[in-house]
Amino acid sequence: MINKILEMAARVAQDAEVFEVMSEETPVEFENNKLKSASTRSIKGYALRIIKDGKIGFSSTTKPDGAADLVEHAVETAQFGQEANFELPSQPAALPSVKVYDEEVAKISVEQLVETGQAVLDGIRQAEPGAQVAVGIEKAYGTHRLVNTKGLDVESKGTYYGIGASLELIQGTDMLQIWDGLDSRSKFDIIEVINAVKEKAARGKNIVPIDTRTMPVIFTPKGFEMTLSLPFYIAFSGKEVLQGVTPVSDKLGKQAMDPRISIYDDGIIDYSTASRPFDDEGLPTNRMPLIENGVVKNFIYDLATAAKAGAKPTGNGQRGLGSLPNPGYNGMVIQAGDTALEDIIKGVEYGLLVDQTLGAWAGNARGGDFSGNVHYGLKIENGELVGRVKDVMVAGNVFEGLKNIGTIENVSHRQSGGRWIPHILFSGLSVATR
Amino acid sequence: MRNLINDALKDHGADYVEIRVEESDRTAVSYRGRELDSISRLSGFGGNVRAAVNGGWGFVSFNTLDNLKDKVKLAVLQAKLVGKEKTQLAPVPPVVDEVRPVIVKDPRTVSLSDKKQLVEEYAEVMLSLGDKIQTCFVNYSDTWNKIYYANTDGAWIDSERVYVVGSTQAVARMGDDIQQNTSSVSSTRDYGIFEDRHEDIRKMGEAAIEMLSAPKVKGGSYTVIVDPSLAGIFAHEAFGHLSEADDMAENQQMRDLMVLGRRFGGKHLNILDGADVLGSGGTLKYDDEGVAKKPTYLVKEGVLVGRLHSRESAAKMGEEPTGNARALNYTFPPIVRMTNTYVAPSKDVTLEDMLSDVDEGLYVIDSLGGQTSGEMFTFSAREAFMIRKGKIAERVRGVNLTGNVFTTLENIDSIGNDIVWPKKGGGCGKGGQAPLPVGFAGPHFRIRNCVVGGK
Repeated sequence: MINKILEMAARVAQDAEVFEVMSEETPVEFENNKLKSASTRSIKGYALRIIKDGKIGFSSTTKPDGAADLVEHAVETAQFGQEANFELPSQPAALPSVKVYDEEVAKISVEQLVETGQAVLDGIRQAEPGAQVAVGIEKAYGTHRLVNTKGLDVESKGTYYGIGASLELIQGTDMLQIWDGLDSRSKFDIIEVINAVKEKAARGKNIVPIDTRTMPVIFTPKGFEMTLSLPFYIAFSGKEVLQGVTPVSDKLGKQAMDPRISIYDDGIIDYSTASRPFDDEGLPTNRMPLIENGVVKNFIYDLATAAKAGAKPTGNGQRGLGSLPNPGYNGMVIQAGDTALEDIIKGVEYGLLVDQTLGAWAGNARGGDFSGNVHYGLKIENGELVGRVKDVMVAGNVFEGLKNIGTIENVSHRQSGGRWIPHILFSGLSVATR
Repeated sequence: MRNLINDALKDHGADYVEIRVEESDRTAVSYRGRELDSISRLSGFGGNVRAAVNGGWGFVSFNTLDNLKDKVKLAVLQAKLVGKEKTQLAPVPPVVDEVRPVIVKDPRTVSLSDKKQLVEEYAEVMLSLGDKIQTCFVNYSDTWNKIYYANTDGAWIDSERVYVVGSTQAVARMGDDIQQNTSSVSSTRDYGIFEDRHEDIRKMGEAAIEMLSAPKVKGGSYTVIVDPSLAGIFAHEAFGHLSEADDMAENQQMRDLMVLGRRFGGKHLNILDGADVLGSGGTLKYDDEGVAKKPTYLVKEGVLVGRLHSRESAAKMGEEPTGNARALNYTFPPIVRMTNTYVAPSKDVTLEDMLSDVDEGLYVIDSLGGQTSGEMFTFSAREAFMIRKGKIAERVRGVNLTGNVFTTLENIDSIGNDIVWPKKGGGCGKGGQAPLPVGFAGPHFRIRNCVVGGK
């Protein structure tokens, strides 16, 4: 059908591009300590972008017989569409040889997912027999294909494997809730997930009071992801930069953060969840510094945004079936520092380690502000983790905080979604409680 | 369609099977600053089969009805693999009905060029407020859905839904300081909700500029008065989610904690779900299991009296189904969700009464979002002002509140008489299904000892 759509579109428009998505996801869910459901989700659809009389038209469909409507709708929207100030790319000379498909994942059966999920559940239940445990395990595979009237024809086949686990332990009116998870394009050892949940449960049972004041705060990789990453993702998007609505938009080539901070957009790590050989417009992906030694190096672009900004597209075009390409990350790697986590904790006299937060994303993320409930956080006293805190808010500004950080851990840990993040100590953040 | 679906529902070998088939057509226009960002037409078609065998669930979703019988077989096979107990579904009379929206102004009768024109005007309203407005975003979409639903109990519901959403956001900048404000509307029956918004949008943009010079709130514990819009989100986040019985039915610890009759707040506190509000995305005649939606008291005079159910959670807890099983679309199974949730107003308390004995506190307006874990919840205030000596005083910014359901509801010491259903609907997220249209409302109310994050 993809070639038929392209032919039909080529007859009514100067240029056209068809994006085809096919995938099959198989999630298995365990709830309240037992198996609950097994599902199969098949998705097949097409998106069409045309350039007609110098303007962009866009439509998508998941109808099996939707080709004619698809073309008609693209033509309809092109009457009002934005100016096409870029050209669709031709076939790339070469694509990076990143591994994104694992046969071992593709052939996992539902029965095997059930078995592995049960093993994760049992592993956690063994350590915490009184807890309610939920496990989600999923495998998926799919293809992206992209063709256009400039002769581009690329296809990529990928796999996905993910496990998430959560635990709830109620004592009186206190709910200790923990979740952790990992995903990848290849299989990984479930013990990582089991241990993460077990360790957090063991440390979280004792509740301790904490003062309202400014104090050193260590964010775990998950804590960083949940609390601080959104402002970051917004800030380096070429679309935001173009309009000058991020604090780093006017700092290209300038020192904007602590010189120990280096952050990369990296789409070519083998089997990393967000890795892919080409972006959703057919351009090769790469590893590119966003920040190097605290200096702003690059922003991410899709074709249209790059053209408007007078910048080079960076292989970061990203889209779902229902939207035009926008700048999107191919994974994010924060470079590790030089101190072991144990030593970072030892160096804190009175502070907080933050792992899960609630609602920190809501508010002025574009300005870099965050303010969230510490859903799972441990108080540090005289270099020791002494217990879990409750009814506590942590707040600050990411960009202010990153100008003057304390310490970065010497390991960057894999997180869900193809992100690699070390523990980071901020020397002074506001912590508030009742 | 009905014959095709009914035929596929025969000879299945399961305890229960349902099929949903859905068609959609969506038009969307968005602007960034003065420039058109995208304009699109999206057509969708898909369906799913959900089957229960011995208490286990199988679910299959797809984009073509070819071989529908095989899809039923696969869902039943998956359910058999999972099920080891007994399927429990609360009995409900099988509904046969046709549901059509009562439309005031149909977005499909408005030309794309008129929609684009209005979006452009709203962008201009914000950008003309001066050079402190760095940029703005305007997003408009309308979606028409046709949904066929049938199950092995004999239900057949053919429904159509329309949903119009318009949102605007102003971004102000001074040096490295960036502030933003938003305002949005939604309706299931009227394109008119998106018209004549120039004045509202201008005020919203001006507030974004004022935020640049407002101080950041100081972190700590405050007396907080919430406005009707935030009050609604409070009902949703602070209590609504905890009332969703799918997380409770098979969790004995949770059932003990959420036992009916437990006191959560004062006698003045009433929280309900299922209000019949014209135009709200949360207003349903039937949920996505074909169960008629009915109003449900969650908290009555401060005491827990009810909860939100699917057919399964109702059966497992020996309670009546409430019509709260909802699915975002055909790619998801229905799970327990809210509809229109609200805090009921009191008879005679006014905002002035509430303010009068607050020496220092916060007055918070509307929310940019919130999150809950069951016990803990947070909200981000869209706008906030200090209260000083009984009066609303200077603007502050960066106000995110947190509460604990077991103490914060008790700390509500005054509830106003002025409930308002905001024109904006909400988009709720749970189990990866977001944004599901919901409504929420409440009167002004006052909370003592509420923790606010800040510098």
